[in-house]
Amino acid sequence: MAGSFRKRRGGETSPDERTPFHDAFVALYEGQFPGLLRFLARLTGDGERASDLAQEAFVRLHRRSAMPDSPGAWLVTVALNLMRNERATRLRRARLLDRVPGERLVGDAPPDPEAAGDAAKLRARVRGALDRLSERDRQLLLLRAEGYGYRDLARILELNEASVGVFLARARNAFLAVYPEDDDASR
Amino acid sequence: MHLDDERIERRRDDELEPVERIEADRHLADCAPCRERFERARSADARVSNLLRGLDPAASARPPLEAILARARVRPRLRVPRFAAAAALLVVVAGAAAALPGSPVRAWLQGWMGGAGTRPATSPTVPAPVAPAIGGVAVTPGARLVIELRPTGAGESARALVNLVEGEAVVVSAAPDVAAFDSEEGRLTVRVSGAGLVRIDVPLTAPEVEIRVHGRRAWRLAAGRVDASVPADSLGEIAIPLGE
Repeated sequence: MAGSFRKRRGGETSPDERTPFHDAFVALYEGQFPGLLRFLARLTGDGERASDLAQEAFVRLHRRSAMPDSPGAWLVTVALNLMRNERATRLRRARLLDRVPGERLVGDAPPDPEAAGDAAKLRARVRGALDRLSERDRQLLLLRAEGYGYRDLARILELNEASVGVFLARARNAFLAVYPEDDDASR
Repeated sequence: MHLDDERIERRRDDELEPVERIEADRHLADCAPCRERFERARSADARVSNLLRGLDPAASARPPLEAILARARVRPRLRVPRFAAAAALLVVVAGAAAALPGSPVRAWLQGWMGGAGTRPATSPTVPAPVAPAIGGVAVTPGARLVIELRPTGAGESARALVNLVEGEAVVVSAAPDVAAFDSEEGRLTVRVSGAGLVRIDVPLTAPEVEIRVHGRRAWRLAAGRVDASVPADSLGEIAIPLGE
């Protein structure tokens, strides 16, 4: 579809948008936004924050006005950088406000909801296990679950591409080792 | 020779080249220990995938493409805590603050409006910038800045919402019928005459910023810590009532 004229939901495409980049951007948005959003929501445990991050990554890509080599990996990398910057800001703010160490801020993973239903309890257990992993292992598992290939995983997480499978296996084993198996079995 | 872990994983994730895949399949057919490792890996992977699916809350709606494009066209010079609020706050703060002599917002506004003017709106769902409904001022705090809030009349029931943000400027904003601003070296006076909200964004890195209400200290950032007359909410914001 590169170079063609497209009609979008919500109105005609204006003349200044009829570019190969715009067409590629629209296709990428339609194809990759849901997966990026799901990855970020799983990672942060906060749908609204995940949506902000995913949108901002696409905004940055549009401002770039050119497609990177691997657009999917680029979007994830930008979103993770934004997340890191945002987290650093929140931590600095918390330090200045003299919060009790370990106190949760809005946007952190939710606490274990004792009174919540089975789905929420399962979610809390999975999140608890993920939180005990290293950041790299956590991102590796969640990105792979979204279908990112080994080359993209290596690019995003700066791994040796020849060893991505081993890293994945270790991350998976680490996750299963800390996941509370007995609770799950007793349900 | 057995398949190494990398090859087992790559076979499972279909990441082998065709020739390698044929070789791996041939080996798996003949080697029971490798076949067992492969099945164990496959089973563990299925279990992890299944558990991770349990993390998903109710499906989030994808925002309209037009919203992304509109945000991409606005290049904010001021940074605000929530991405979604960036464009709106920039418009409203910049609009009235540009009128203040010496305010850096004048240049920001000219730059932003100039940029926006050269790019026609491309979607009927994206409104063009409108006349600002909120005014404000941006001040570089220097070594010490005192923000003096002087409520009168209905302003006694107003509140100041203080937030620590990234960036370099202290930004104070409010609706025009709520507050007016005067600035001088090291001091910003906010005359609050209407009930409403006065928003004060203070850079995390500001050396010393003090907010006074009725001449009394209500909030202070100095030496890397905040002292406030009221506690912060869960977002880290502090709402200070302006009544006596």
